[in-house]
Amino acid sequence: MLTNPLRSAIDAVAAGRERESEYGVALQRRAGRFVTVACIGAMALGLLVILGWAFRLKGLRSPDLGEARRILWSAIWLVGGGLALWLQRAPAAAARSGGMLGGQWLAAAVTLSALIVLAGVGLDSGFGFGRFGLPFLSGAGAASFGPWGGASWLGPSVFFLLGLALLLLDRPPTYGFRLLAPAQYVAIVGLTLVVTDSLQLLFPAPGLTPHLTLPLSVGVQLLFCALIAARPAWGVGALLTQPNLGGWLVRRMLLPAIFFPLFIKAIAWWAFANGWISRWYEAAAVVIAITFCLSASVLICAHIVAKIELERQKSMALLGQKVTELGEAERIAGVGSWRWDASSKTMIWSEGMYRILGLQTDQPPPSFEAASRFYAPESAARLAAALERLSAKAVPFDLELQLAPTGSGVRFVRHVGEARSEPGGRLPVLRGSVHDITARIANTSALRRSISHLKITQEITHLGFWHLELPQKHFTFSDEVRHIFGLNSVEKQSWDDLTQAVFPEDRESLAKARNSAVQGAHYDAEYRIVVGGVTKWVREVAKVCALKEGSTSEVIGSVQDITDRIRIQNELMRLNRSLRAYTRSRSELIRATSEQPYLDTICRIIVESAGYRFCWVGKAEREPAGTIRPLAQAGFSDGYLEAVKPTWGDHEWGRGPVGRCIRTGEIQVVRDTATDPNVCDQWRRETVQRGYGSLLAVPIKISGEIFGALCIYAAEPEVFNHEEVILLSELASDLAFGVGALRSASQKQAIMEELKVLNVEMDLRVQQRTREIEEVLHQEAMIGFRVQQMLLFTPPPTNIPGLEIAALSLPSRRIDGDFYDFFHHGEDQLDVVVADVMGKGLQSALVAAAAKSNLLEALFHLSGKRAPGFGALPEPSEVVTLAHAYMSPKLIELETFVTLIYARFDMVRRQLSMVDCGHTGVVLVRSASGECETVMGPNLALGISTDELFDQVVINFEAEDLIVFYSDGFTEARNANRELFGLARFIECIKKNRQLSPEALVQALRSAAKTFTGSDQLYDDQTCVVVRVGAVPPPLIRLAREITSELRSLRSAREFVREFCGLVPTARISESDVAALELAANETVSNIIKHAYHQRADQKILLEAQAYPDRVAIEFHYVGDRFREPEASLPAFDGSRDSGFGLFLVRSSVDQLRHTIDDRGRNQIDLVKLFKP
Amino acid sequence: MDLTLNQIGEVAVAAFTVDDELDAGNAAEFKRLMMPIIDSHAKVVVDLSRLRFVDSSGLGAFISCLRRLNAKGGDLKLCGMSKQIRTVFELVRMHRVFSIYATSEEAVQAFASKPASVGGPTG
Repeated sequence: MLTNPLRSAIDAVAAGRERESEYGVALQRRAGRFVTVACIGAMALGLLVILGWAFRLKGLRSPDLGEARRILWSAIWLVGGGLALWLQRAPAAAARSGGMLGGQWLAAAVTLSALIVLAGVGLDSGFGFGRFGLPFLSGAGAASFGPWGGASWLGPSVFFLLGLALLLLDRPPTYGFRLLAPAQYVAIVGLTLVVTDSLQLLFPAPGLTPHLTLPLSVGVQLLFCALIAARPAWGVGALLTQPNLGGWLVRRMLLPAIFFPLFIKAIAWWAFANGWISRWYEAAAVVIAITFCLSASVLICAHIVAKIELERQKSMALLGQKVTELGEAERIAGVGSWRWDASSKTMIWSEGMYRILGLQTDQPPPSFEAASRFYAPESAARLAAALERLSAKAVPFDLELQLAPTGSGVRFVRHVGEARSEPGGRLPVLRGSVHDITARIANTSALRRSISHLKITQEITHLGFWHLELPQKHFTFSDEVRHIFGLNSVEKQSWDDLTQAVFPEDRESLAKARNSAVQGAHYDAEYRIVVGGVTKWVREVAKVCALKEGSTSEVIGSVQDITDRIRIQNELMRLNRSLRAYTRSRSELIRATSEQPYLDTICRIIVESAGYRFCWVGKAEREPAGTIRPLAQAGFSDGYLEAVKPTWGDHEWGRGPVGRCIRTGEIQVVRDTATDPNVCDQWRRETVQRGYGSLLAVPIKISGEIFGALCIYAAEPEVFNHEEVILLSELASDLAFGVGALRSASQKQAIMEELKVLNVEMDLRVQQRTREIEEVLHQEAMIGFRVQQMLLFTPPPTNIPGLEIAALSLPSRRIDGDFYDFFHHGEDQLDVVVADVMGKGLQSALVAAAAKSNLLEALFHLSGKRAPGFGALPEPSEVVTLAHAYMSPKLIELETFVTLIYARFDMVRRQLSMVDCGHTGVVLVRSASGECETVMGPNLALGISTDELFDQVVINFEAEDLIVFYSDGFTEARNANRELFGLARFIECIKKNRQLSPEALVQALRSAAKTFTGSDQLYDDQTCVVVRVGAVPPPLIRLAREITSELRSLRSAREFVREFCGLVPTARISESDVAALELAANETVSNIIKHAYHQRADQKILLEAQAYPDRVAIEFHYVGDRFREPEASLPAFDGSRDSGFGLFLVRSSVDQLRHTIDDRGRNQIDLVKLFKP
Repeated sequence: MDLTLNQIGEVAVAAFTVDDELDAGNAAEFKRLMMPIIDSHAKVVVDLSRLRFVDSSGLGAFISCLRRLNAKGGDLKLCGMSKQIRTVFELVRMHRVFSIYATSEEAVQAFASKPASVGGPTG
């Protein structure tokens, strides 16, 4: 079993206290008995001494100590003192009586007589204390004094002290004498004197006698001890009788502490007296005994105190813990407490009080008045009144108070107070507790608000609740239920109130549902009630909840007023049906082909889909005037139309709703046929009789004129509300449109036929005009095409040795921007231009012509700046750059551009130098490998940027190589699937047909593109130029020689020429030709030495001569500076200058002079001399 | 290169001793050989019958000699040109500048018939 250590400790302490308390009472009793015994004993001893004196009984007399009178007086005082103490043995507070007073008188007598005797002794001796060097041991005085009979002062002194102690017996300890009562002080002094005196009895010394005999000494000692114990509440008495550790120690230790040294002294004295030990050892034994006694006392006390202190500390720790836990418990519970002890005027607050009232715990608790500032004024007043009643009449209180507002908001406390008397207290102790109930108050307030909200919500939603407890059938319901059922608020709530209001027809089914609900079935019923003559719909839902198994259960239900919902639901249903009818009627409108079936169908739809009882369409007839002819009808009529004979004439019978509708053109509604005041009785009878509750008549207007009316009869009254009337009006307007449309259908048909004829005629005219325009356009295009062909397309040259050329250009629109051209420079070089101007038509053709013109102009301009015949031709890039400079601003302004290839065939060097300006590049077919490669340049098209720098591409070609120039009209031709002809097919076609002549290849390419596109129609120009390089014949003779660059070598050069020419058949070359070549070679070498080598004689010049069937060519290869000939300068023919003839001589001597760079990077000068035919 | 000089009257007739060719390599030498003749004579005839080739430098040497003689009132006449040499002279129109004769005799005679300062083409 677990034990709570704190509880055990507290229990132990409590039990100890209880035991101590009992022990204390017993001790006090024992002390009382001791006092009584001591008194009696003292008196008995005194009497014995008196008896011994009176009857001279030797046994009772003292062993010859002092004077007999002295002993007699002492005996009398002893008896008196014992009697006085006996009389005062009970405390004065407990018993004020005559005995006490007698005791005091006796004590006074003893005191006074002893004082007199003592005075006598003093007078006798002159009160000289000096005579008594050791007064107590001095023995008998020499002088005698009256009755005392001796000069000893000790006896009277002792009894004087005894009397004085008796007189002061009930004096309590005062501030000056805290430890003991005055009587006890006096008694201890007296006792000390007596004991000291009695030591002489124990340790008799020669020459010394005790002042008191043994019986007297014992009696006086007993009385002094009794005096000390007589008042156990005070001083030593209290200490002796205390039931705690102090009392225990005194009781245990006091007697051994007194008697142990005496005992040791006695033994030591005995040994000394017998001569066994010296006086020094005797004194030492006493000292050791006293020391031992004191040390032992101290050790025992310390041991006991330490043990008890340890226990006390444990208990204090447990107590401290408990206090802490109590504080925590108060904090958690939000509770605090206080205690007011009116006797000691002390107020104690628990930590919780400080916390709740927001005070620091190190402050002293405030008074009741000061604490009122923590409360709101009204609460403070209530609390003050309650405290007043509590302290005055011990009326307990229990208040809920509001604290003074602080930063954390309004707080509430519950304050409970009571008064209770505690044992020993004269005034009751007030206690109170304070509990922070702010949260509870807040919850209560929230609950109230919630209930209020619930009530409002019930009012808004018309939703009430009821509650039924079974089997007691205790029934309650909310205010809203009362309101729904129209019950008086003071009525007692009963189940029958709700049942009685139920519509009679619904009662049975409702009762069944409720009964099965009590059995546990789901309960959700809608039923009608009658409140104040008005029928309402309510929905009731309930649930059974078992509170305890099998015994008690409760049913909780809700009741909601759903009258509005039911009404809207019904209206919505009807509206929905009407909408369905309207939708179907619209689809009929589309399908309708003739009038009568259309009207029949509409009437049937209105009755079947919309659920009306009867419907008919009437036409307002002019002849006979005012009649309404029914065109179609559906539903239940039972001869209604025959009976009422509808008419719209302005007379009583025609003022019915249908007649009024036609006459006014406005919708007429009869909400209740039975009560409507605007109808005549006969009409009412006919309608009511056929179960028509309400009527709607809508006019049918065609082209603004009243055609008739659509009349709809419903079985119930109040059916045609606003939305329904709008919907049915829409239906009637559709009906009018349908009838109107059907009536005008035939007229439309005729107009359509006429329109068709007109359309055909118009088409024919348009076609005719289109043909005429096309013809004119075609003729114009043909003229433009011819002009273009003449302007832009030069036939390919045929007189270039070693080149076969064919060209083709097919414009897509007859006039177009593609062009090609050929500029040939002698027989060795041919420029080919292929270009494409952006766009089509006349502008492109004109731009192309201008571009061509600019190219020509640039070419001639650049050529003109060079001397003819000697390295004069400008590079293609130079030509293009200059031409571009001419035309780029204009092209940019016209927002067009030109793609172009300017290519130069050099038949001597077998090279093609090409500038490709954004064009397609060329396709090169190598005869050796049969491989095709495309070569393109990096330049932009002309007219894109004025700053374009044009790079030139150089291709070496061999005999039988094919070079194909083309425009993107070929590669971008598309077939019907929008696929491109593409470069791959183009190249494939070239490879396949590369053995054909250029003319045949061009046609093959054209055919391939045409076959691919599957059409003659071109979407872009197709231009193509094919050049085949012919085979170059090998030279007939070839000779080479290297000479040094000294002027002496001129002769070697001439000899080389002459030697070479000697090898050429004379039939081909004449002597003058040889001389001319000799001169040209001489001059050329001379120029090289002068201008390239600057007269250095240690360089080399290589001469290579080749003879062909038609010419002789001499090449000079050298390394030095590449010198430039003076531009087209002529020598002085008048002999005014003796130099400057060399170049002129060369040019005059040969047919061709050209400066180039050879394939090893050396400078090269070519001289060509053609054979004369 | 070597020239022979015949004094016919006051006309100095210089002639190439062996078949020779006059080009840039030896035009300067030719001019150096001609200088004493020109300095000491006003009427000089150069017989080119043994000259096989002449180039622009050779032409320049002749023109230089002619200009020196003309400057001091003399004249230089040429004779005995082969067809090849004459072609070169004609190419640069020098046949209009120099008086060219078939033989040295004709040339010398031409000096006699006409003042030295006035030279003219004869053929």
